[in-house]
Amino acid sequence: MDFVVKKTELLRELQHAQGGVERKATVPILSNLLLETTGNTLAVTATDLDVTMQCTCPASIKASGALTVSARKLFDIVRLLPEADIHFKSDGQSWVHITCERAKFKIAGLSKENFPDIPSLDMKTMLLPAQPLHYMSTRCAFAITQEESRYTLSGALMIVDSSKVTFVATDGHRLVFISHATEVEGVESENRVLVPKKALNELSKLTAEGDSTVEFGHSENHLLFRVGDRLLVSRVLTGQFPNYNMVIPQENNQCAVLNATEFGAALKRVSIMADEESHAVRFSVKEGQLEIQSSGTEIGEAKEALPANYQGAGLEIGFNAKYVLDFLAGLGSDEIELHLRDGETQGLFNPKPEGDYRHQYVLMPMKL
Amino acid sequence: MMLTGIGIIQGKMTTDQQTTEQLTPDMERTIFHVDMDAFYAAVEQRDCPEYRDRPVIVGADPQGGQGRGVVAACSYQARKFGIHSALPISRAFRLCPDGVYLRPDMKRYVGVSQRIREIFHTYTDVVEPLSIDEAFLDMSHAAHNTDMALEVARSLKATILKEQRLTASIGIAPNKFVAKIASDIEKPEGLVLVSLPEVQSFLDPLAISRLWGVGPKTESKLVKMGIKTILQLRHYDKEILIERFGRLGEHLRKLSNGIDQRALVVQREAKSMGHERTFAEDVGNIETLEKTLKLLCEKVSERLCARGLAGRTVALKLRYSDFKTITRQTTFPQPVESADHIYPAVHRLIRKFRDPKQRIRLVGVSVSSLETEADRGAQQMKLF
Repeated sequence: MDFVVKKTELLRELQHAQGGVERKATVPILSNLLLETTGNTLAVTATDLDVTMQCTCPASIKASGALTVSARKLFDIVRLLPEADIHFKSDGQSWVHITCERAKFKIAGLSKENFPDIPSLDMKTMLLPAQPLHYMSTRCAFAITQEESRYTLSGALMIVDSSKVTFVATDGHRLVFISHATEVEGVESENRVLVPKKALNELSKLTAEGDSTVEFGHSENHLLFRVGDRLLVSRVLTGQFPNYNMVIPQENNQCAVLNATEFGAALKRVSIMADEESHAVRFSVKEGQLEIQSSGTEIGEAKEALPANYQGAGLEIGFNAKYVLDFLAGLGSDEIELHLRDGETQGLFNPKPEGDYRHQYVLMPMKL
Repeated sequence: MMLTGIGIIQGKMTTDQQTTEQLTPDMERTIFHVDMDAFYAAVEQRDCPEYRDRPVIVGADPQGGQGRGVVAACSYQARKFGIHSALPISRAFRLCPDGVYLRPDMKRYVGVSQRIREIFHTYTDVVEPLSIDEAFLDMSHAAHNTDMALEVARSLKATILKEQRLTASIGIAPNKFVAKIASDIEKPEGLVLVSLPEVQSFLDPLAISRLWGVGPKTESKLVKMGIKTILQLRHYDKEILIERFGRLGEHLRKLSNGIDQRALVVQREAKSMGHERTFAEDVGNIETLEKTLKLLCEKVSERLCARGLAGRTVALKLRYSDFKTITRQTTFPQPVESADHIYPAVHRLIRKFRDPKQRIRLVGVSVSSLETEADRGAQQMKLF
């Protein structure tokens, strides 16, 4: 194997490919990247067996071949090389020589034989607009559960039908629903898949660079997203995602309209004094205002009232401030409606719609 | 009452200065250990005149000598037959087939116990209940000398007898450990005072099994080392003791020198809550085990709820027919109290850890790391 690539081009692809590398490194070869030349391109592949990332970049190839090398080392080397051409040359199967201007490296390679194959890509695909996928995947990832035991919640539900794309994520305490109205060609029936958290994060990164469309397909076991020349293949999560429609409240008739920026700033201040484990804060809404209050233990307390467009009866409810702030952090809109019913029913946060999006956040209260 | 002869001043070790410092005896305190005499059996005898003067055995059903389970308590008349608590009920039945065998009526005993505790509280605020039928009372404030202490103790015994028609034995000493031994010396209706200067001479002749922390295993190890009495233990080489027993060695040395500085734990809260079930016949069938465990989980859950408690650790206990006992536990991120949460955890544990080749004699479920609702603070509610 003998080829030359431009540093900037390779570095950009390596940054994407890094996301696919196994972090726990239980199987040594999964800490490696597969470098493979075809025609006049170099393909870089990383996998942790659940998620596979493949990126390509143009290369001038003198001798084709394939080899795996440590992802971490290769990335560190390329990152620090001067902005110039990089020459890769392997002697047989065990060493790769990397030369860039005056810098020379020799790193150990492992044969391609032990590197897992990319899952079959034989599936029907459809074209989805890239920008909305980025918008939605970025805004729902935070709500995915961290608890390993709640397997079916460890990813986001993605639903594609002919008129919209929807993402739903939850950890059992809160739920994000976000949907984009768009015509999707080549879709006959509803496609429902559970996208694992890691794949969702990679999708969010892949769609950040301004490509206009994403090719999406799914088979019984795998999901495929192709963005430009980059490919993301993921195992699908199996299991029954909860019936999210059931928990989006329909009868929360008390509505307070808030300025999202002011609301977020006030909540951040008040939450400083909230109990450090529960992050509990008390919301009291009454005519014209929302008062947020935290009373920690011995450390002290905080209170802030902000103007709110509210006409209903007085109402108190406890929330985990962190859960509210997680949601506000990714918000584009500056106006937000808070729909409540009583102190025990889940609250519904509706940001003012942006474009063709429908965005809702359901949050279960805390017993204070 | 027992008055130990001329007090040998507490045994100071002379080997090194540091130890002498550590082994300075307790400051003068007056601790009562009040132990109700044959409590369950005494309550039964009190409430049913025909049981008086008869051997009463409270515990598992003897089933004509085939019964399983153990004696929970027995009257002094039953003790003459060699029956004592924790004896297998089948053995008790063989020793005394004509005894009165009763199932425990815990509700009634708890009620009586509470009323006795109320009496304690009229004497002092510092009461540490050890179990349903015994408690420590710190009487330091009321009894500055031995005469006063004896007078208070006699009055306490008389009050219990008058109000509850039950007898108690009281041990009085400068610390908990000596008081507990003292209450046992002249049971029933005992009253034994060990004053500070008498502590050492009181302890020295006693068998090492009297020491807290010395079970049958430690006892046999000590006996092999030639240590049978507290005196022998006290004079034994410190280094060897600590080398062989580690922290326990240190602890035993302190106790043997009459030192126990633990204060009374006034509100001892339950550390765990559990239920066990001994099967009439050893069980190999998983469905039966599951059914029983489910029931036990519900019982535990009921008690937790009644006290407003929840716990994060759920434990399963299995005793096989050969008496080999295993305990396996799992911990939740949030405290749980409902059987719906406890049982699935127990179920996973039994599926994972049970040896299916062996039959099971006893199963138990317990929940620990208990917290009250107030401890838990704000609670996040769930969507799913």
